[in-house]
Amino acid sequence: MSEEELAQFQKLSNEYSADQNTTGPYVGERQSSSAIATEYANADRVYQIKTAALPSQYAYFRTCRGDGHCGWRALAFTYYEALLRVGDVNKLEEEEARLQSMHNLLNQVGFQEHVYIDFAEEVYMLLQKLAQSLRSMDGNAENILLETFNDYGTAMGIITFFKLLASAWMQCHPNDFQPFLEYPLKTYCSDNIEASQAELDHLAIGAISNAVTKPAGFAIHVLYLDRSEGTSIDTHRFEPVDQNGMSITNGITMRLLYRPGHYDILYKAEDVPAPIQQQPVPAQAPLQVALAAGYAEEFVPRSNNMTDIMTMIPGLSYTGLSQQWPSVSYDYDPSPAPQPQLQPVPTYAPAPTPAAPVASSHQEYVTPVHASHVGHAQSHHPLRLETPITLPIHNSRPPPPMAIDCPAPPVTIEKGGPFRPSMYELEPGFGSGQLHHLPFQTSIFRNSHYNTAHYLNPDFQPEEWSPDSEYATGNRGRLKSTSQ
Amino acid sequence: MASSSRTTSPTKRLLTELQTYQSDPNEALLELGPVDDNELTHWRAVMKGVPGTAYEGGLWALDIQIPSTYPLSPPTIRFMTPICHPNVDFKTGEICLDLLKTSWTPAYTITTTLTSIHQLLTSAEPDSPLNVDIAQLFRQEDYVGAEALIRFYTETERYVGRRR
Repeated sequence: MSEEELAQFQKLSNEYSADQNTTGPYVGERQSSSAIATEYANADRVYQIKTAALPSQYAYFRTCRGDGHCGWRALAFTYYEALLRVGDVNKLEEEEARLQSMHNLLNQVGFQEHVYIDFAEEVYMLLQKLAQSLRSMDGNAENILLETFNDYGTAMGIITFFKLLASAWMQCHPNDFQPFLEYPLKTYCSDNIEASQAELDHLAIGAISNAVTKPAGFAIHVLYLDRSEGTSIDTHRFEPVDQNGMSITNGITMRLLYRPGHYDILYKAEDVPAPIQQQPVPAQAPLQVALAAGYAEEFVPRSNNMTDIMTMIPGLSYTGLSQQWPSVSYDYDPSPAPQPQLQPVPTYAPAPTPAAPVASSHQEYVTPVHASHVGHAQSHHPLRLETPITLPIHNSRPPPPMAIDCPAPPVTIEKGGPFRPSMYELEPGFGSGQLHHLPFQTSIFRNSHYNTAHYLNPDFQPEEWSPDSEYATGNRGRLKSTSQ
Repeated sequence: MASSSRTTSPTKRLLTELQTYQSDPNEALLELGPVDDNELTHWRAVMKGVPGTAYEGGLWALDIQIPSTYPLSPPTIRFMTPICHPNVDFKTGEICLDLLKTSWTPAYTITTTLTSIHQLLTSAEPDSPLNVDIAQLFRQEDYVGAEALIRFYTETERYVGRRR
């Protein structure tokens, strides 16, 4: 692509953002990323192909207003959001202390404390508000974050502090940045980093990742959606590494979607904590069952790399299916302990019991014979993804009883095991963490020697019938649903 | 909810800047401060000429309008006293300086901005002129003529306190 073409695209992109994105919230609500594919449905083929594959990997996105500050806003917002995902008040306090210690850096390059302190205080005030919200477990932290970033002045204060930090970091580490530049680093920083109107650029992301996000253990992934060759979206990674170059991320990744001239925020499905997307789930639950069953019957085996080809067949797109993903499995968080505000218990509340009649009958049937026929409920749908799919309909009766009855330790389902490939395996590690805690996924597994209840298993442990646990689970389910 | 008083008005920041200026005055300025005590968003400055240049001995008054979005947006600064400079409009006093427009950063203050304007006096950019006459002399490399013209206006238009 020549420079002129590039300039032309940049211009088109600028005009695009000028008329499309200058209204609306500064940071939008999280929404299904199939909207992106829809947006590009009539675009040229490169965009079509690239965006069609997007919703299957990145379930949600969030828009940022394209007013020239979108990149910085997205970066700062996702930083706070990553801290919320850690969900630890101590982490928030730790970050405040760490950022305050970086005032030295700012002073060193000549920023005056009385000038930047106002911006710094906006940053700390938001950290404190979020910490306060986590402490009181009012579940309001996400709202506070969103509201704060939709307050122009406050958000700009926060953005300004991040800009100054990036600039100071670059000037203190000239060897890392000067080689990329044709003119003095100081000039670059004041014109392209600190300036109010400066948009986020690659060097700035590098500086912020070194200064702020890597020490916090967060990775930044920037997905470049442009018209370059290829069928997938390029990802630029800024990940924390140790001295040996090994990734030492704490598993939290901030994801930005870059389209020339504009940034938005992307999420993988597992990035999104459970309670937030509970509201739409109950209404959709019955639909899920039908869909899932349909897929079990009309199952077509195909390999992972088929997906792009499949999307090119007119009328055959899995984006429609992907739209349903929001309700797939993520409402069940088997390890809520490290995230105190994400207790799964309230998530059952919005599920009206009559909304899923199928589910209730399932449960009535399954529960009495639970101990001896744990896998029975799943045997209708032998696919490995069935359990997550059907999870939403268990809302009225929470899934924990299954885990309690299980005599075996949590078993990891290996990819490439004795299971037929599933389209749901598109994403490696998809649903990991949830699946692994749900043993007896399939009848195949139940009858295999991987099951500790199988006599060939080295850790053989016969299934035991325990009347206590059986009645306990029945009561438990009822208590859960009535006590809400 | 999230908007503190600071973000809706630049008052606190301006007061801090004023205090800082009073304890640590700017060499380039004779005076700086609000025009009157009731209006903190309208300042006036008197700038001194640069010794050893054609602007030596000059004094210029500058009008500083501070928007409510300050410091996120730059102040509007113009010369009240006519000045002969390629990047300053002789009649309106408008200043052509990227810092006052695209490269403004909230990390600048009123005094650091005025310092930059002061530096502009000795580092003119005749290629983007607001005063074509003097810029033309510079471009033709008639530095003697340019200096004479600047000295003339520096002397005749010198700010002499509140006139009339």
